Amino acid sequence: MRLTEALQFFPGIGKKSAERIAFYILSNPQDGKKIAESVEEVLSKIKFCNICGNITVEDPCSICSSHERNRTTICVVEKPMDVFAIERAGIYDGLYHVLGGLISPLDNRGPDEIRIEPLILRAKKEDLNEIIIATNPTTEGEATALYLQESLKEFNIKISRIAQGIPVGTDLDFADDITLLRAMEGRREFKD
Amino acid sequence: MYIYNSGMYLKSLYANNFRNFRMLELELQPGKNLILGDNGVGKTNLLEIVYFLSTFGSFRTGENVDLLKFGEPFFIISGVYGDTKVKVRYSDKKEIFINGLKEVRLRDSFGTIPVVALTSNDLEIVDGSPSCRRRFINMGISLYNRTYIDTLSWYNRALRQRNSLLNHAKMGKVIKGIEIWEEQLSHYALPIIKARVDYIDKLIKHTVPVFNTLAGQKLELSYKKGGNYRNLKEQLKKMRNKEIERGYTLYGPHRDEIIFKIDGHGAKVSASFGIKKALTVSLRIAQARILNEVRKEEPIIILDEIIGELDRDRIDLLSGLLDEYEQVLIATTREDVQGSGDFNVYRIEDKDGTPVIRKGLKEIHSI
Repeated sequence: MRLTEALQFFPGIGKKSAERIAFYILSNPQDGKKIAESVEEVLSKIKFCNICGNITVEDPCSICSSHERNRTTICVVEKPMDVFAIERAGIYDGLYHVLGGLISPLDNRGPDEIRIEPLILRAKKEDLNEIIIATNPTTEGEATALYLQESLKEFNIKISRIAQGIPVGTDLDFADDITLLRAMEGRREFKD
Repeated sequence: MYIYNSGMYLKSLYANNFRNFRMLELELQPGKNLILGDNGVGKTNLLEIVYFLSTFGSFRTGENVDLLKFGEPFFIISGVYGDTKVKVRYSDKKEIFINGLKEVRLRDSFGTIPVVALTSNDLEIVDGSPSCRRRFINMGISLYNRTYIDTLSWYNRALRQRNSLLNHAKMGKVIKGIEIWEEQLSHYALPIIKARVDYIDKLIKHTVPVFNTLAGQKLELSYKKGGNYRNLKEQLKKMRNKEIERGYTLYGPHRDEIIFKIDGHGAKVSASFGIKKALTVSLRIAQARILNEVRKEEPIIILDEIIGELDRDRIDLLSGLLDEYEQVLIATTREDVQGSGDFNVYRIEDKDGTPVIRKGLKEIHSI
């Protein structure tokens, strides 16, 4: 069946889940149509913001065109999902820059294949105080952070890297060793 | 005689659909356990269960599918070590449960049951390629230093990324940002090298006297570093063009080597089969002693056939060395090993295609 095969392209969906979803669609055609329509709509209306690279209906996006936000700080993330995660938390009021991937030669993705050049242009043009690098703490995430740090050195802007460590609300003895190590390395002094 | 007081030994084993075991339930004793039986009845399979519960891998095969009883879709094995129950369920993928709780990452529970295995594959530590010796060192460190496994996998990831860039350059493409991978490599290399220097120091301390007891010869063991570790980043930068020609990274911990010399001669080329055996046994005993020194826990020692390949005098010597461990499991076809010490003797026989295990006259398992 072609539908189950197509469904398996989605992250987190295996063969069994795909079959269940396919049979659900067959027995509930109205819901199936709704999904098909919303997928159509998303694909035809959604585009990428020319400034930050996030997904948006309007270009530039609502964050880039907002004057309520702190326009002197940019948070650099790998993908649009990361913007949603930070926005959902409501802990940050600056601007974003979405790279659209991480540097990974194994996947034929060099610095020119992701949105680093546009970020350098923004650093030149916009009046910025700080760029926060919020890529994941993986080998590729760290390497990309390093590359960004090097490329942005020449501007008089503070470059920072998000902290890594113990998740809030968990016990120390539940943390794995490498998380503890990172948390130890990233410790900071108490300030009054 | 060793006094068994810590209770940190494997008290019981359970297996379902593992190799030739349809269903196995076995109580085990501390001290030296001898598993006697003919070839092909399942002695090694029994030890493999113990090893798998420690490392979530086999010492015989890299393919978990091979471990399934023929035609079965899953296997379950478990063991109780002290008060901790470790269970592995396999069908398509492995799931680990520690005291009933599912572990998210395999490597977080790696070595929960500390096991050191002596198998006939160990000969590759002496005879095999340098990667076999690195694997031996990596395994030894991983049993007490879990961040080492992570660092090693990040290092290898960064290595593959840099090699892929070198390859692109070799094919004439313009490459950009190779420095960041060199930075990453030297960053991850540091804790790997530090752990290895430390481990090899300990290995020398423990292997040399054991080898001298078993073989009566002088062993030298040294660490040949795979790069200039005072400044690996600089070396990678300087050698970049040469490495582009080759298409891969020539310097770093992935090129480390361990050298064994016996009475001044390279072991790989000059030592006899018996001496090589004695060397691998010494290395494993040392590995167990280091684990005990660092983790303050006696590892369980398993010996697959090794003892039967030694001569009479060495069997007595090895048996004596094994007295210091809380629990030892020895599989062999040789009946006369019983004469070399105090053993709990288990017999394993084939009865119409199913293995039957007896302790003394009592049949304790038959399905």
